[in-house]
Amino acid sequence: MQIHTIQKLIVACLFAIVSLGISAAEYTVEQQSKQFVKDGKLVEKMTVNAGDTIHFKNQDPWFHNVFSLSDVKTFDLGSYPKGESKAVVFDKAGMAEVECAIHPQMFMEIEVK
Amino acid sequence: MSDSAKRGFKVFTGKARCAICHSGFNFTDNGFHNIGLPENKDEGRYAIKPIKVMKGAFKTPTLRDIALTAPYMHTGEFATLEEVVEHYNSGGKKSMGNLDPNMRPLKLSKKQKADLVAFLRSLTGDFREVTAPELPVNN
Ligand code: HEC
Ligand SMILES: [Cu+2]
Repeated sequence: MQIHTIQKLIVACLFAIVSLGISAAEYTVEQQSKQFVKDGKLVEKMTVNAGDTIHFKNQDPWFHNVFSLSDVKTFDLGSYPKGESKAVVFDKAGMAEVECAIHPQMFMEIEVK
Repeated sequence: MSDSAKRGFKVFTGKARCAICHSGFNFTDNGFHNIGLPENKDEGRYAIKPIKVMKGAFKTPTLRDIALTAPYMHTGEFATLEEVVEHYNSGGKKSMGNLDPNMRPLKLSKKQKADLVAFLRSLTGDFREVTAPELPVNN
């Protein structure tokens, strides 16, 4: 009887872990040639769900400094070199503007649903 | 272009790493950097973008016709291109807790400094032959 309960618990736990994994997605936005790029294409706007994570990865041989001063998500990732990546969890719904402090031409919007 | 200026271009894109910021046709990355000017008291770009890396940061200017536009820097603190090169050679001063990570002592020889100045002088007038490549940061 006890073993049965433990088995049920394990199944429930596994189910919870799997469903969490499904509900919170992970994306990567790269900094490439002083642009924001996703899946190899220039990205000006993307949509994510609340709780999703975006990894900002520098692919350029110089520094970038990704930040946002938006109400829904304020962050400053600091400047980091090629190959490094930092993650942001977008936890609240709304529009976030993401910029690079060093290169003012770099700009994108993220709609958090 | 004189031989000295040609060697200076190699220093510019090589050992001195100027082209990390002064890149492309107009010798600017259109970016903002704090290059650790001893005289700077101005928070610069930070007034517009309150992000730490913008403390004391100013826009990279073009180097076209640079020999004609003394004094140098927004502070006007350098009267000659030789002084500008000495500043970069020193690596700059950490100011406002923020110095661009590409600023570091360059250890240029006397001749390399003279060649670099000769190259900067050669960017005067209609001369449009050289553009600086976008330089990778070598850590
Ligand atoms: C980290 C980026 C960076 C690097 C590396 C760099 N510069 Fe600059 N440079 C700037 C910025 C930013 C300014 C403007 C600074 C200011 O006015 O506050 C500037 C200004 C100058 C000026 C003065 C321009 C004017 O009109 O007053 C000269 C000349 C110059 N740089 C030459 C060089 C040379 C030569 C090198 C290499 C030894 C070099 N720079 C390396 C960013 C850089
Ligand atoms: Cu950037």
